[in-house]
Amino acid sequence: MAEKVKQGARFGEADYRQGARERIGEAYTLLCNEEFSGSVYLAGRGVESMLRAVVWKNDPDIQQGKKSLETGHDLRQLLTMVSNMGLLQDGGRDDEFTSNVQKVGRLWFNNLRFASSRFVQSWWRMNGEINNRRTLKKAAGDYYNACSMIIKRCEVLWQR
Amino acid sequence: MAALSRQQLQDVLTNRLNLIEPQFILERVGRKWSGNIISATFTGLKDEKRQRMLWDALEAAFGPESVHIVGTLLAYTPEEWEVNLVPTAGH
Repeated sequence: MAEKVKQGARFGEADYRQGARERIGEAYTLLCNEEFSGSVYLAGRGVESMLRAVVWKNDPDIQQGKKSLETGHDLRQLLTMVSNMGLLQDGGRDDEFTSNVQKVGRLWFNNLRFASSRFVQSWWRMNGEINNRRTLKKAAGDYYNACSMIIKRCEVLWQR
Repeated sequence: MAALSRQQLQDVLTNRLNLIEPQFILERVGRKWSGNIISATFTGLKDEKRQRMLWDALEAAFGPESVHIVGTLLAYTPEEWEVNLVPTAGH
């Protein structure tokens, strides 16, 4: 039964949007509890989900099932799709949006769902995100802010 | 507690946070209110701080029950929201 439901489930723009909003809310709760790996994972998942909502809403072929939203979990590819749709403003505001997606795309990947805090700490240290002066707590807070900003901007694009 | 009304939620946040000319775009998702709040009060504050303000106000008003009656609220400045949307009757 559950497998049939899974196979029959087809996400649409509203599902992606609502899921994204819930994930960023959960990420904040975990951040407050200093559960950093869960917070990082969920915030990044929220970004993916919200970018998907925007792409879905603006691509009639995806809406009509002529094309599937097969980007894997590559946030930078989703950003390219949003950009190619002409939804982003030149200069100013969306430069920050773009750089935030690139940052999150560098620090988040799908298999973080399996990652311990120790793994996240090592991964981010390798990426220069944390060091002897910059703690995981500080970096996770900044990362949350970047994810939240992306999701909020996508919400504005979604509302148009 | 009795079901939280949209107006109660708006009043609590407006009054406890002294929100400047707030605009609320709220929707009920299951038992919880979720949505977007636009106010110049949020200018210059990062989102982590904005969330802390919102949840501190909600917890002060509703206690531990707040997490069961309020979902995700995203806080915008007017510049961030950028579009003037009129909430529909369903919201």
